Amino acid sequence: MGLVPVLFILPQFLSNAYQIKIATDTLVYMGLGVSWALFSGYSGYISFGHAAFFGLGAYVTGLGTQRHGLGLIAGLGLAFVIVGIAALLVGLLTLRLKGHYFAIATLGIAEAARALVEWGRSYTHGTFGFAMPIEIVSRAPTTKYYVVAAALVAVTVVGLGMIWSSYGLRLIAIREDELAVEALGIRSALSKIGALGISGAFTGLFGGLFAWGQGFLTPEAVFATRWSLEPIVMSTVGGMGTLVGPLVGGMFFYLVPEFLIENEIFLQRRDELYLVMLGVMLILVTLFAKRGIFGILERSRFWPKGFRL
Amino acid sequence: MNSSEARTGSNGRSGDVVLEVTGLRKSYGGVVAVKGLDATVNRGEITGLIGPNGSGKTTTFSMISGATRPDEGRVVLDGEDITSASMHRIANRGLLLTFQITRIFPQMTVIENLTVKRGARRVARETLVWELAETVGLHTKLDEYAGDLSFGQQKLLELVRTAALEPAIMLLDEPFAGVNETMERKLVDFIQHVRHERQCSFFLIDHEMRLIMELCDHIYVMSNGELICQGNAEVVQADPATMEAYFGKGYIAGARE
Repeated sequence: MGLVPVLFILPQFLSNAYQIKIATDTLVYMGLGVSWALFSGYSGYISFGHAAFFGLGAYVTGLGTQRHGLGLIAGLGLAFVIVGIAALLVGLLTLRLKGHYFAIATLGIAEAARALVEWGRSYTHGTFGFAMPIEIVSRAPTTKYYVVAAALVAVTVVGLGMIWSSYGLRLIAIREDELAVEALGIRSALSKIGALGISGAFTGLFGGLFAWGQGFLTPEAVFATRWSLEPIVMSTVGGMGTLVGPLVGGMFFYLVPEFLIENEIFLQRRDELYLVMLGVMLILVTLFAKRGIFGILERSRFWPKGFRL
Repeated sequence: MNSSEARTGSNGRSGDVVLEVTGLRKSYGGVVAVKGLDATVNRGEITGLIGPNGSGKTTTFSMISGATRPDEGRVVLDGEDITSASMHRIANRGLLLTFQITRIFPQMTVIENLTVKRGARRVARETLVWELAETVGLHTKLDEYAGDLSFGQQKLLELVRTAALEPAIMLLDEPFAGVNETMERKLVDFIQHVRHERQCSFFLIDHEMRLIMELCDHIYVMSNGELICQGNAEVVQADPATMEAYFGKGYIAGARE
């Protein structure tokens, strides 16, 4: 909680627009990680398809402002609602399945969403993409930063609200042992579908914010596989099933490569070497710190038992 | 017991029937696991289901509790047909199952385990959950992670978690498997406590014959998917087919304590 003021004072200490842009992108990245964790982290149902929600959110925001003259906030709100509904539908179709079947089902979702956007090119501009209206894109970098920071606070607050409530507890119980949950008379499918809806809505919101930051959308950029895979890495490294996990993991995985690239240490760009680094890091974490960075702290004896962050 | 409510089970057992199973059948591939089982559980009684490994006991419990759909047959709980209903629905109608392999939520605390269904962690401490936890001595461990409890305590936790939902009947699949005698006594005492204080009926599977004979008002014996004998402890112990199915040929029914 004490970190919220830090988040909002930070831009005062950043010297130029580029640094603010990097900070903003980092927050989008962290927001995506937290959004993913609201469903997959808590319930243990690993989604490999959140790029679908991210890309869809980007397109709803983009097309809403570019084709229908919506303002930014209206566009983002629409992305939140529409992607939330889409996620509920995906949940209805897939979440009556238990266990691994869900993960397999999500694999196709992002590709399907991307194909759909490319197919409807008379409306979506297809693979060429399009630019968002200049008056929306040209807002000051600090304005963008504050909007994204507010969204990150919102998703984190919702996440805490969930995990501290009996609803969140039920999701965690599903992760632990779904059959036992059903045996107690809890309808696990409903809990899971609801959580995917909330998770999808926020993922859509951050997709919209990403599009706003970029100014230009292509299916390739917003439906990229990395938007599906990197949230998994963020939570794994930071602490699966926690909120702090994707925040820490997201910051780490965005800033470290950016720092290396900017200073031309080791990396020139987000190239294959970066992916190798990601892979090595993942292997090290799964070998030596299964609970991730924050998970270790949470399970130490100094941490109050059952206090979840 | 209110005699107007009393019903007679299909197999002739008289009394107030809480659970009635008729013609329950299940096959997996070509193998028939349960071949048309009839059984009843009377209210307030403890009914046992015994038989050698592979005789179809767990499959029977799975079908009754909704974890598995029966191929044929009917399950009636308190006069209501619950055959093939989903597990959570059956649980909410008052039939709860505990598992052969204990299924607690290891990364949740004891109190979270106990309140996951009904929520309200704070008030729970003063109500039935607290009372039941205290009965078995778990009240001092409410803030421990369930996974850190001993095996026996995990068994107790699962029992308390289930009993706290005030079921009409609990199905216990091998509650005494792998626990020491002290823990056995605790489990038995708790079952008796819930039966008497909360008017809960029990249907239980176990291999611990000594405890089955001590606890059960009525015992069903299964072998190869079929009922081969039923009755009270004396009847079952005197039954040659049961003793043969259970202990193999050559077993001589020994003296009871």
